[in-house]
Amino acid sequence: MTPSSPSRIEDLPTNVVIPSDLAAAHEAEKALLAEVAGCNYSEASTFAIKLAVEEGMNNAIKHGNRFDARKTVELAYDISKDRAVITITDQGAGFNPSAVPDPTADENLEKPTGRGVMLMHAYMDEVAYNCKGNQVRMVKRNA
Amino acid sequence: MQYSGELVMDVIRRGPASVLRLAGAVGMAESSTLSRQLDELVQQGGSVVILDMEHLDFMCSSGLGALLSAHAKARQTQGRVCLASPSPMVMRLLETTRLTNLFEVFTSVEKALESR
Repeated sequence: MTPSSPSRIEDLPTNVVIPSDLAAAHEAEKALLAEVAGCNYSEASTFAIKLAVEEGMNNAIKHGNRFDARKTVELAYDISKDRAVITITDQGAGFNPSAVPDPTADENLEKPTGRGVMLMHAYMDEVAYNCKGNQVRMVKRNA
Repeated sequence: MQYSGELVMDVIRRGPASVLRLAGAVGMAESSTLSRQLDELVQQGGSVVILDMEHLDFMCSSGLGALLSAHAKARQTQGRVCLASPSPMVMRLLETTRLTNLFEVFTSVEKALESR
């Protein structure tokens, strides 16, 4: 995990770059959640942030960078008492989030994958992708 | 609220049923461990696997995927996978994903055992 220059979309105070590796993602996520805990977020908001970061990092490593060890994932965040702003950027080709099938549709219910994007939308207050589809920005207000 | 980030599992035999007690969190890193454990239990054909979720604080979509894979494998061998005592947070996750339509969810392990 190495510090990096500020995020390209907006300047967020904490910015780490990790290899495409689940253990590294776990460590980065732990540091983010420690800041969340320090700001006294509710149990529900903490769960939502953990879930959204887990899903976003998983998507970046698995689907974006396809576990390519030469590629990195950038996790940037600003955690305040009022809201958490988080961006996750991978070095993959990007994707069209609106083209992801609805995992709650009857025909998809038994499929073991494909729920990450839906869960990020369900649990966060704001979720937006850049045009390329390789960066997601999420906001959770402390409610 | 802080998560330990660790998953602790143990299995208890209750007659023909296996109760898999989960404690901690199932993130993307732990989901393959859960999947392997579930596969092992489900492979005992015709068996009932009850997941005791009382002490499970967190589960991500990869963990849900492990449950769904086990559900499909159990069905092939006339077995069942059911869920017991999920925390309100995990229950909301099951409801959000509509997996409550697929899995039997019980308020306790005892209730799940009674349903056999």
